[in-house]
Amino acid sequence: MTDEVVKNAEQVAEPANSIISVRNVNKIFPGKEGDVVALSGANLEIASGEFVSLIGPSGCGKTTLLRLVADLDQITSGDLLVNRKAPEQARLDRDYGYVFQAPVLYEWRTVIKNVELPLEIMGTPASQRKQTAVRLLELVGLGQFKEHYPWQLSGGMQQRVSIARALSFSPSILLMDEPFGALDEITREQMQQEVLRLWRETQTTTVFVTHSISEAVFLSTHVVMMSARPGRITEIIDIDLPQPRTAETRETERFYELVNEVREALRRSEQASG
Amino acid sequence: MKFLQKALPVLVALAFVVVIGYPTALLIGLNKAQSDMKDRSRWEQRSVTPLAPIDLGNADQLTFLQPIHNTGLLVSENQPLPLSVILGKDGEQKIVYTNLNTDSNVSLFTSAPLEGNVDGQNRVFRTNQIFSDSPLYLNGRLLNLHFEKPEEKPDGVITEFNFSSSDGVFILNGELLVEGEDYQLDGNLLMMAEPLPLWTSGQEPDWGRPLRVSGDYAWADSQTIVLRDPPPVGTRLELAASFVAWAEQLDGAVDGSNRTFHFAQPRLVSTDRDRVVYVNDQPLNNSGTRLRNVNDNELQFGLPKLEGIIVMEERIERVLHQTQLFPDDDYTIEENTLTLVNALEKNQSLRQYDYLILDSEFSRIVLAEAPFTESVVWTSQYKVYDRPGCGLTVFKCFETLPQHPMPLPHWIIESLPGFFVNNPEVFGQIGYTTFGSLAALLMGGVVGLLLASLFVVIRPLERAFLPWVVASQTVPIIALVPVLMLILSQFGITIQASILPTAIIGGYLSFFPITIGTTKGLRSVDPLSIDLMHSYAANKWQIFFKVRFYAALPFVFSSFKIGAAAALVGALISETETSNASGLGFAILGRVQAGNVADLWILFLISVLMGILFVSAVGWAERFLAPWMRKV
Repeated sequence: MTDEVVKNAEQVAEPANSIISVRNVNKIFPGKEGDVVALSGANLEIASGEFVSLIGPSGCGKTTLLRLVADLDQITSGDLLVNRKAPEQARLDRDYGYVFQAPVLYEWRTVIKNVELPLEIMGTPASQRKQTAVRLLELVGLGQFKEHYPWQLSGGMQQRVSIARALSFSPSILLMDEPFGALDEITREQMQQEVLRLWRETQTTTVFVTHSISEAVFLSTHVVMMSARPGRITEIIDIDLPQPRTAETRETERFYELVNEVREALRRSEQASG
Repeated sequence: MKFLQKALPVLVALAFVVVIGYPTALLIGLNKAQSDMKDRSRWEQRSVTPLAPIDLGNADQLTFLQPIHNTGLLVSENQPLPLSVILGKDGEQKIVYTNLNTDSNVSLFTSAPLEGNVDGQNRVFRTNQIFSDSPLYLNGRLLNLHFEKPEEKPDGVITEFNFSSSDGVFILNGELLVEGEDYQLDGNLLMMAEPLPLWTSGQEPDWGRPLRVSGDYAWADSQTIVLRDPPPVGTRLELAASFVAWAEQLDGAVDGSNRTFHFAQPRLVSTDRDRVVYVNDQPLNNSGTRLRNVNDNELQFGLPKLEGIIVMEERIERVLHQTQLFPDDDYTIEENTLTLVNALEKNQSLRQYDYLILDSEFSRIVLAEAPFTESVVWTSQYKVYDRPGCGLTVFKCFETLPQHPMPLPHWIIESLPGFFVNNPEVFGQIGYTTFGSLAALLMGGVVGLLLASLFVVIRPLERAFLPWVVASQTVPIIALVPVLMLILSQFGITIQASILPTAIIGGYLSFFPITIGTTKGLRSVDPLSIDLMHSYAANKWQIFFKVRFYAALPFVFSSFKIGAAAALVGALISETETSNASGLGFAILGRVQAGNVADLWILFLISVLMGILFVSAVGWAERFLAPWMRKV
């Protein structure tokens, strides 16, 4: 089992040039009614410029893995390197941008001020800050809304602001935790196109947590399957759909094959853990 | 629709005023008005010139020269009669009642209703109106009011009561006392079988005594009439209200020698002195002229007029007794001197009358001089009753109460402009208290924000100090103020010289909600917001000032609204407690001490408006400083 995981991990990237390196990482949350093993013996290597999706049932540790990478939680044991650094150092160096399931916009700031916030913290001069924010808002198609307050925007628009904000300081990694979970199907597909376009234009390594098989297949270069109790990485599937991907990609035979492959892999990992 | 929603709180407030304010004000006010009406010392005396009907030749018309009444009406068969007002020559105002049916019982009075069953058994009747000396009529007949109260007042021990006579019946609290059962008589001494408790009637101690009713009825208390004999079934009882007046032409030959005339209208008023006899337009002297002694003896008196009826008057037990004296039998007249056969006793006196109403029962009047032929001989009766100074009805009295414990809400509004004109110093007082409240809010705000920030940044501090912050509000502020003033005075800080004491007292009240609210606000931040800041590698201060502070703002503003109201309360309390004349609290205190209820209500209203204004001001500040919160 472990051998298979290691073998699969090697398929994603050579450890030497991987930008995110997860090796035998365990995460245990101590609790009153016994410890909860959120992640057990996880191994994953992600190379620069990849788009990797984490998929699996609830409680499989996808979000935990993302938060460990972002240093919002700390690993219990194992090795975790981000940009060849300890996660804390990577965080302090602002190596990644993080997008939550909720937009988490600061309601007392206008849209542009929200996008400027990371730069503000980093001490970027105001004029440069503004320039960058305007450019990014135009990139996500919200140039006209920069002086609005968040509550004046729709859910999809708010999430686009949050993505623009995550990209505002040009991080080398983009971590997205089910960013489209709360959106309706139509907005969701538009947003997926948007994210793919941004990924192509910015060349940012992206780790994407999702529940949706078709979303994972459509967006990713690799899909990482996980299973619950304890949270483990069970399988990694390469997605060889040609780039650039468009709405038509969803209707190709290969897309269906890959969706079925991922579905079956998920079922296999369920049975293995069950 | 949107406007309606905004106006909704105001409508609720108005509804509250209408549903609670008005009924309460009426309840309290009417109760006070009623007791005011009963207070005889406040009653006012009214008088009108006797009504002299003119133009008596026309039988179906009565014409009066003056406006004859304010409250009375000429009524016949309980229907008001049609009247017209005519302006005569020289601007004289005449009131003419027309279409008089002379056969009907016409009387000029309003009668007050009496409550009580006329079932041949009941002898107790009540009236809501207060005319305890109004005459009482039974089927149009004036009843005799004669009763006596003993000097002794019941005190729970006394069983004996002294009366001047034992004639009549004895009544206690409307109940006829039965001899041998309830009492025994020993001469004029009434001995009760059981001692009377104090305040038997539960109202005034005065009414708890037994009454001796020697006339037809007596007043048991200011609103209860007790009749000596229960009125038979079908009897009409009427109590005259306001005043009564009546005029009629006397029946009898006017031939230059006849002196005896008859009247048809029974006596409407309680004494014959109120019946005036006129010959043509001249009223005869109805009070008589007292005769003076001549030659220093009790036998000879001077006569002002030759013709006259001589009456010997005598007061026994404060009751006037009159005895007509006749020439030759009782006295002789020589020139202008009258000589009595028997000398007067000490309490007797002589009077000379122009006429004498010999006997009401026989409707006979004897004039001293026979009227000339073709004279018109007529009588009028009138009496004006005093009435409560505040008015005849409870509502009228309610309106004119000098002190309303709770005025009707719109009266307060009406009296506002006058209040500000008469009390210009109140503007300064409002300003001073506003200043004090602001200082207090500033004090409470600084302390509250500081404490809350410390509690959030250094958690153990919260555990150590929060219980004491809560406990601080259990200290009665009223007790704290004098102690605080005492301490501050040691440093030379007095409330007259410095705003500091007011700021401390108001701040003491206002810091609590601000501390609690701000602490909760700073803790209420969405944890993802903090995670996001961590992902930007933001430091503690950046997180505090860029996220926690803003996330706490809605709570901070809410707590400042409560704090602003508390600061005002503190400022007012400090002013009342220390009698600081510069502030509104002192103005309120002064009105309380002076019992000036009307001003007190206005000052209350001003304080309420100030409170609303302060809280609104925080709201406006919130909209200005935190425009993103407009969505709430």
